[in-house]
Amino acid sequence: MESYLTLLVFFLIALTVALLVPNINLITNKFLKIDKANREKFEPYECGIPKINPIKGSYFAIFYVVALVFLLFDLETVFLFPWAVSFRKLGMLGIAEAFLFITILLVGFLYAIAKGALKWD
Amino acid sequence: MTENFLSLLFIVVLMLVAVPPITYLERKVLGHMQQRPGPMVVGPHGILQPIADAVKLIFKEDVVPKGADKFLFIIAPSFSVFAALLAASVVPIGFINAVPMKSGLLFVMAMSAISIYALFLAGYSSNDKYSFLAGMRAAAQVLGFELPMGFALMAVVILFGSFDFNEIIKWQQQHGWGILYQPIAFLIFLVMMIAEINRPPFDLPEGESELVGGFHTEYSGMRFAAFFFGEYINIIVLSLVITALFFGGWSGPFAEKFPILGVIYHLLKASFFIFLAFWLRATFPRYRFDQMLSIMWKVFLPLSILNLLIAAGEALLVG
Repeated sequence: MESYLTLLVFFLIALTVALLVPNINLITNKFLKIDKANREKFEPYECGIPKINPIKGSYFAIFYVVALVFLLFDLETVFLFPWAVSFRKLGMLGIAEAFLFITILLVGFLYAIAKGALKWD
Repeated sequence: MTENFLSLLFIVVLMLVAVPPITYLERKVLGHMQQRPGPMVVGPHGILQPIADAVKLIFKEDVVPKGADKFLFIIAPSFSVFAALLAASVVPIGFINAVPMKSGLLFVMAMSAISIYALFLAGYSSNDKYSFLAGMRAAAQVLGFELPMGFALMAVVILFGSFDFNEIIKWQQQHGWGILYQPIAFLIFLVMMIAEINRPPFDLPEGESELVGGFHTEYSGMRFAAFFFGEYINIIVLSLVITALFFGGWSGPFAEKFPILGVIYHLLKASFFIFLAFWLRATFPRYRFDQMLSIMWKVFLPLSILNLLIAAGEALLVG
């Protein structure tokens, strides 16, 4: 339990540091003379010319299928981490079962490759 | 209990104080590798350069671009520092162990994985197409490196039988360094570590030749610096982790008698990996995005799963 108390204290310290460090400029700007009239500097970056193709609406994320395959394998790692810790206690049966599990998922992975889920052309 | 709080303070201060000298060293190392002197103007051999940078960054104007999502824009750099500091909390340096946690390795993995949200949020909220593309790249990069990293760590965990850093290093003191048993896991973890901290050759979310500045195009002042605090703290933490997993952490000659030597050993071993991050930046060109994803999915992922078999065999033999 004690370690979680220190973790909580660490959490609070990290939170204060993290909120303080990036926002120092808000404090220092009070002592500076700042030109707020120049509107151009608030425009998003574009090499000093008027904006070309600004982002609007939707964007097609090409890695959507990859994300699905990732989700599958990430769940697999979640299941396998407890197995990895208690590897020595489980004995031969546990090992065989885990590798059967991995083999089934590898078949799924090969299927995804064969179907072209991991192509980026 | 007081020990814990002292070491907690030590770790926070170490992480925050170590970052400016590391940025200086990076520029100096890169400069000499490319046969130029690096920073030379401010102070002898440019040693006061980080201080000059800090003064400049602190007194910059606070700019939020037009059309940006203001809340997310402000929260993103804070998140970067926050996640990096939390990851630092559980890693023991010698006898200095702020939060002794049984699942320390998992906690470090989780925290360094969520630090990618900072990049994604920064890119998403900036209302800038370059930042937006960089944020998308950051999100897709996680999909690439997280799995091989997880499987490489799993192989190591099978061998050590624990997530606790103290247990892991105790095992290595008895049986020898982890790299002797798991060289493949070491190589995979090294590559994934470089990808996780967005260092070249995997610095696609920054990609200054393609995306201007990547996710931090619209940031200035200390907000900009906060991303680098997060990035460099992550470098330090993952270097400490990789030495703890594969190079015996704080074990070394006389480390049992004088615990302070253990701290020095651990930091020295870790500093080699920090140097390696600079070295790789000077050596390799950046990967193309599809190349990176396909090497992660088609080479490293099957390799790391096969490595589980090797680890299982070793664990049965070594006991």
